[in-house]
Amino acid sequence: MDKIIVQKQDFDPTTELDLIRANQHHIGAIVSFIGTVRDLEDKTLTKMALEHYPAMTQKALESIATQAKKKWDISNVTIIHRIGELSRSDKIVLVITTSKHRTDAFKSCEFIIDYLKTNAPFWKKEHTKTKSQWVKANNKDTIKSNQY
Amino acid sequence: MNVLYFAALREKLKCSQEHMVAGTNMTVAQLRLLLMEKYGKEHFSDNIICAVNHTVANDLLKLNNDDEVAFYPPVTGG
Repeated sequence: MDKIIVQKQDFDPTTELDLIRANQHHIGAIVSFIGTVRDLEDKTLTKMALEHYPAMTQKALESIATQAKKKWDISNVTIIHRIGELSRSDKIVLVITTSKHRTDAFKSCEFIIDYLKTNAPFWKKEHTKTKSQWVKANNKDTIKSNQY
Repeated sequence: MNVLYFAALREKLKCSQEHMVAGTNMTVAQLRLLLMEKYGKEHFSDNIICAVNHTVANDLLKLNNDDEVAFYPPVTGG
């Protein structure tokens, strides 16, 4: 069963891995990705604020999961994306995919995070002691997402 | 129509949402032009995305008075 959630609270990857593979005796591969808050180059990040478009986010993530299932032979998908204020090294996002064989699990997991980064309505704002600025979209992410 | 603004765009416009009336056969492109006149062209560059009823929309889409229209900068989640 798919699990797609937007939430403020932290998540436990081990718990989520156990949940997605429970009683799934037909699968042979589980691939996971965790995105975390990276400090700024000058090590001054005090917090990262994550905003989203509440009415659209869930629908956008579900659509990405559905697209992944159409492209690859995967069983279940978990996507957990946090919002609110986060600190350095905090976990932001978890993506897990399962399949019979590893190729589809690897490729679908990569697709989901690549597509989420350019299509799901979240925005990050970095804060230091002296200033705040919105993170700019990365052109490399757009190029990567366009390859699918 | 309920028009919503997010992230940096919301901060620049100092507005998170407003109610507007959709003119007859108004398209997303025409709404963009109206908003440019109201707030300044510099805030609605080509990279500002429009979503109508929670789905990304192109500029040709016609709008209705019960639509929810959102404008936002390129996303940066994940």
